[in-house]
Amino acid sequence: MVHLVTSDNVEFVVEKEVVERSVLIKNMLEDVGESDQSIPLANVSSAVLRKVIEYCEHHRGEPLPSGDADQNQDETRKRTTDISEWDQKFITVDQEMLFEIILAANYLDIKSLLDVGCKTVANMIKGKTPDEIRRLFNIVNDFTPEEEAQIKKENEWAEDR
Amino acid sequence: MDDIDILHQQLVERTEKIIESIAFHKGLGSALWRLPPEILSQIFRYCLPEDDFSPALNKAPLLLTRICQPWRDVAMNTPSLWCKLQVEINLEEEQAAFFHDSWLKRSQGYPLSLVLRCYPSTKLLRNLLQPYMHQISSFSIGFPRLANRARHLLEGLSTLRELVLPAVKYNILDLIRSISQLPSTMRVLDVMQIPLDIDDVSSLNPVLAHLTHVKITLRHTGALLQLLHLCPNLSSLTLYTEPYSYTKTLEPVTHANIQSFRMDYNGVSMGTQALADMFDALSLPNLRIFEAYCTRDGPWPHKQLKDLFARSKCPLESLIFSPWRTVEAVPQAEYLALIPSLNIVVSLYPPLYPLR
Repeated sequence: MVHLVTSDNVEFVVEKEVVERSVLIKNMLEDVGESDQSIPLANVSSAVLRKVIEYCEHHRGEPLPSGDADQNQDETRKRTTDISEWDQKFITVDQEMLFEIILAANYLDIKSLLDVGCKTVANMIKGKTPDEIRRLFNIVNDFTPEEEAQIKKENEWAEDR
Repeated sequence: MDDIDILHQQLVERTEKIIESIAFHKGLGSALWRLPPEILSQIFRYCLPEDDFSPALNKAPLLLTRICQPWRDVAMNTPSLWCKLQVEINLEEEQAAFFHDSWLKRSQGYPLSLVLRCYPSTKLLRNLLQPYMHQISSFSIGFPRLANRARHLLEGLSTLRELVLPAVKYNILDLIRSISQLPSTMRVLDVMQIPLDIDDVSSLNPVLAHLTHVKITLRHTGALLQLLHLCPNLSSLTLYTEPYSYTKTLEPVTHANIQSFRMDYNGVSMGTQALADMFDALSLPNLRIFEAYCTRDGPWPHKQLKDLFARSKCPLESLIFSPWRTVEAVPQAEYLALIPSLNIVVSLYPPLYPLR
């Protein structure tokens, strides 16, 4: 069993097989070896870690994405935003939690969870107008009128659809 | 009463402003702004359309440059957002050169995938692409003005991996010479819309030696055997053939790497004997998927196809016939007797995405 301590000082005791879906923790355990010492996770709160552990438990035993798989999914190739049914249900959380999960997955190096988070945000963006996106994420339109005009000019050749 | 109404209105407006301000400050504290640029880049890459890469205002990547300055900075500095460009509409010469160049510059050296269906002039296009020739990895190009100038655009593509040429009245000899000189990085060739003869196939070499995926239309079953000789690394072949003549005795050919063979046969002028002879000449020991589309439901040479599978001792997994007049027209039991684990699909309808 592995002991994890969150930023709000809550301790979680998790099975090694589950927690090793995090490449960060897996490498730590390999470097340090078997130990009862707690691993501090200064960037992850207990509420977020609870969700991350739920994800890791569900996906336990599945092969971790290898370096080759990363290469195959290289940045320029066609990407699909399909998300499995369980993952979709899992990631149906409020916006703050969604971004916190993404940050935690990035920090803990859990690639598949990071992908699910990024795909979810992408699916929220797709099909919306700039105003709708701003409203959705509470983003302020910080372009000056001159910049707006420049962007408009720059894009006048593109199709409006 | 009026004063009260005015006061009420003022209070409503102030409340709305306060709510707006709360949302704004909440937004500022959002974890969204703690996402590092590389994560935002990753999200943006998932925003790209999956199929149509024609630049559109309300689609990524252009959409992402119009939300706010931080997003614009990330989008402009994510080269993989700008690696695919599809041109379907004609712009003014000046506009096209400027805007397409701005787009391609943002790709910052990443491999490019271009689909060009129209352009104001071949010369303009050549000038536009000149700085990016070494970056183009996938090139689908075809428009009427290109007809006799294809070679100008196929020279200097030093890292090309995939070439797709749609139906245009090309100068065939010129075109074949240009294709034959493409680099050894070539893996995928789609010339499905350009019917080729046996001599054309021979002239395509040396590029054929590097190909793994070919989509081709051949006017002679003998040309297929020639193609297989010249493409030892081929793993996927899509063939349309409508033979106008055939050689009765074809030299036997064994191809050890083909795993997927999709064919569309039209025996309107020669009947299916040419097809039967072709099957008799082939051995495909690594074949896993065979798909047949027959535009004329003549006497399909099932015996010769079964013999081909038996002779090849191939690990065939899927056998697909479409569109077939009746399910009964396929002797499924005979195929299953040969390979019990075979998945046979017989469709009465034309495929959603025809081969040609």
